[in-house]
Amino acid sequence: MSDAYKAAYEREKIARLAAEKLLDEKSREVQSSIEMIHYQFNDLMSQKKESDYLLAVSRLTQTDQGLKKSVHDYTTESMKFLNAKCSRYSYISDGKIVISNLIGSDDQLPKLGLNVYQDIYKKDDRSTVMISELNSPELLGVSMVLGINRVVFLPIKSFGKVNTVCEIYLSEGVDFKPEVLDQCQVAGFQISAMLERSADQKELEKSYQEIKLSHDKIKQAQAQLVQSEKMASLGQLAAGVAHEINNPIGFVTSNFSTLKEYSHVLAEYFSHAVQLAEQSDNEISSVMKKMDEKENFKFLFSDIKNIMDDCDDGLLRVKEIVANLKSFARSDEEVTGEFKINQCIENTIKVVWNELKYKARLHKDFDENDCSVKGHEGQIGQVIMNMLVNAAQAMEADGDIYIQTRAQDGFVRITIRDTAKGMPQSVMDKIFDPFYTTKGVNEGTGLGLSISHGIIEKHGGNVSVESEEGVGTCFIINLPIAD
Amino acid sequence: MLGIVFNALEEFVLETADMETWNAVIDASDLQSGGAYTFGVTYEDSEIVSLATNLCKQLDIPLETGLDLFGQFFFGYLIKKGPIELQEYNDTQTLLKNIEDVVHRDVKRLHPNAYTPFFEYLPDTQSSGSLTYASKRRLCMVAGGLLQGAAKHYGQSVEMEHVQCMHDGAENCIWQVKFSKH
Repeated sequence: MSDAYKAAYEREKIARLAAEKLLDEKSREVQSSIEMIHYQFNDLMSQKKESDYLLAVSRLTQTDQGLKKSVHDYTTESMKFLNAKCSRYSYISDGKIVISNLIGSDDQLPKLGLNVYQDIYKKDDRSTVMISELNSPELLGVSMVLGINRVVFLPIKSFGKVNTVCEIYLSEGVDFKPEVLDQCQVAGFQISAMLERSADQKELEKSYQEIKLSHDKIKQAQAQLVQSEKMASLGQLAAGVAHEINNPIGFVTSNFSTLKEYSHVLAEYFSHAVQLAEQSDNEISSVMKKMDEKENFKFLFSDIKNIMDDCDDGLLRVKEIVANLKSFARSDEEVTGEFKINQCIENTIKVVWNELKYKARLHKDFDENDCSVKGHEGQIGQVIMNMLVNAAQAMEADGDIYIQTRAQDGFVRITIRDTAKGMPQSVMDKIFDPFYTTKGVNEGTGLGLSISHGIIEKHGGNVSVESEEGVGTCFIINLPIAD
Repeated sequence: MLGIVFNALEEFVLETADMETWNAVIDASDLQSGGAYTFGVTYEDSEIVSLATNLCKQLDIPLETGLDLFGQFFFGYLIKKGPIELQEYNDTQTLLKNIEDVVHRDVKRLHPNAYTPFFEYLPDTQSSGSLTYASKRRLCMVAGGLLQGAAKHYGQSVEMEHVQCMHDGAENCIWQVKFSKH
């Protein structure tokens, strides 16, 4: 080799070394880049997995599928996220820790030691994700069968207290960065928020129901107040009318009684006079015979008796109406005395039995404890009688009347139910109004139920009616039990 | 300056002269690298100046002529061994339009520390325009040679008028150029 090429060869060797060095550097750079890309790819995949997990948990918090299902799904999603073998969850119900079945395996896993749960459920102030080894003797065998060696606890708090804990069981080879557990914690916060939101909603619904109930009660009280006002006004009117009618009807009745006696005397006198005239033959007897033929005294006196009897009935009815009006007007009188309600009803049934027995079968179902009620036994009896008679009168054919007493919450509830024709809502709305009646003229005054209403209110109770056309009617009376 | 330029110069000397000449040029130049150049390695700019000067002395030609001839040779070398993008164009004008955004960008991608000269071609007509060159190395003779080499490669002839030169104190060099097909 010539000297010239020898020098060139030497330079070439140096250049080749530099090239090799450069190649080495570039190779390292490429390798480093590949590693970086690999790392970034893995990082991206982890981020995607985290995003998918958080999105799945977020979605399940948006759907209204019940708390238990939500916790179950959160446990399942967390199990998938941590590449875990199986999982389960526990929650507190009625002060006890309830544990779900194992998710992801058909095998059974014994409870962890009670102290473990107590420890987790007590850590309200620092309830964070924890990871523990499964090394207790009772778990060791099952753990080996299931191929698990660690458990991740994901506590879920609601209003500052841990009330649910998810247990995610990991296989031996599974590993992850500590930040992964932070994502589980974040997802747990979402579930916590959902639990709190759900509890708030339930509380809101409960409040709404309470307000609705109060509103209904106020409406009912208002209706009762209106009824009471109506009763009070009509009571005053009735008292005035009763007072005004009572005096004239008194002397009319008295005079009519005297008039009746006089008519009897006159009838007897004419009977004898006509008899004597028939036996005689003189001018007087002749005149009397002619008058008798013309007027027919026998018929006249018979008719007078009928008219007197009708008037007597009429006066009796007027007296009864006035008495009813007085009874209606006396609603403000103070209630005194005590009586046994079952006994009172039994006595009333005896009085009205003759009116009931041909139309209805009576079924009694009294409370074993015959409660005492404060008030007038007679007035309550009048109310019961009124309702039993009404029930019987409403029956077009044979029917049943069920009368029941039950004591509850300081009240005795008297239910009188019939299987008569029932009534429409329009009738029910007015049934306690004074002078409202569905009976024919001269059959009812329309005061019975309004007087009953007044009596029950005066006794500190209430009365209501339920009815269905073609099925029957039920009156419900509540009276306070005496102390 | 990247080793590719030194490799091209060596190739140029071996083609136009011989190995003894190249050895003599290296011996005459005071080189930190010792005259051993690798394609992708960066060397001191002073080495190319020293080599070019000594080469022209050895060949007994003016420096401007030497640099111009090297520039013409260098384009052919770049087409064979330079960025692949150079092979995508069909005429010098298109190459000049893309030299900054495509060719030099690719050089920077492969050699982030490499210094590249600035070229800007502003066409007046389809076949004429002005070419601006700027570089801290002020090797406008090589640039001119490169342009001629490019035209030759694409089967064109080029008329060049060096209307502004950095060696006259200007910020950059400008040529009025006119291309025509052979």
